[in-house]
Amino acid sequence: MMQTAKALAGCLGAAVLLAANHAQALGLAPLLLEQRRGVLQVSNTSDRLQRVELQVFRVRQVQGRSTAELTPLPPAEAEALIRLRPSVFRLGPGASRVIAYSVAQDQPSFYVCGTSLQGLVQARICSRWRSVSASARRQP
Amino acid sequence: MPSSLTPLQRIGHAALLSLVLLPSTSIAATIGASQTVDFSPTVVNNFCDITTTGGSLAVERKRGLITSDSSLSGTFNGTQTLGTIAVVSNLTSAGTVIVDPPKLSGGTAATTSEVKLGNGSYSSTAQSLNLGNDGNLPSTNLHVRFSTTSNGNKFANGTYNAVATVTCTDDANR
Repeated sequence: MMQTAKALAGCLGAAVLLAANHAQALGLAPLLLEQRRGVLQVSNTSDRLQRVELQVFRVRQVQGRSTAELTPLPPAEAEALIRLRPSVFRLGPGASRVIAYSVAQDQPSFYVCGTSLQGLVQARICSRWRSVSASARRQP
Repeated sequence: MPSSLTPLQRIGHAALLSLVLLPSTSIAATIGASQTVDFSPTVVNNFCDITTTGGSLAVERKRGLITSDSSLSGTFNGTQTLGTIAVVSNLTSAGTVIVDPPKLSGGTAATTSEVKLGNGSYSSTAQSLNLGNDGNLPSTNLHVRFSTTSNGNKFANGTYNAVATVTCTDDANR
């Protein structure tokens, strides 16, 4: 009985380890939103099903580089910035999905990120919307 | 054509003229109508793919430390397994990968939450990784570790999960 329990525990441990070591891959394009209306392409290049969520984040600086805040905007606030349908979906192995978006007028800069929880890591690939004033400042 | 030509001369000129014109009309007929070769369009976009392998956590027997790092000294319950991250992209120097400190969820809050990338040292602040000239980041080991000063410096019994956020963006220098 004890041996059976140990064998079962061993199998479970191996299964957990196997699951933990299985690679997952998430992709997103484009990484800059240059038009108020367009599409995002989200892809799963791994051989595992993934739950993907598109979330909206404010901009922050890390070591002089722009990236997305860690906490997403509440759904109502995000919806006021950008309309995405759907924002939560599953992607099968090797699958990709095209999501239409439309940005409301005169919005500040923000990121819309494809996010997927993958074991110890939450992967985020983010596409940036630049406000009109921020874009104007970049002109020579 | 001059009106002084005799009818015979006119016939001769007309025959000569048709001989001159004939080659060019027959060449045009040989070339025929122009043809086009169509190609399906392509869309050029910047992209980023993050590939990860998840790790697993173990707790030190004295319950003061939870980690994925098997190189740390001590006796642990559970299996420590590192995570990995790799990036494939077509980004230039503006592309960047940010790894934020991990978050632990469970019964006892962590006092310190640290991440270690590759052969670097543990850090409790966000780390930025540069992509190579090819836009890629080769597979990089990722470790997490947590300690607590709550609950008598011990994590209370229960299940603990850890997540480190890895973010790929373009336009990072602007």
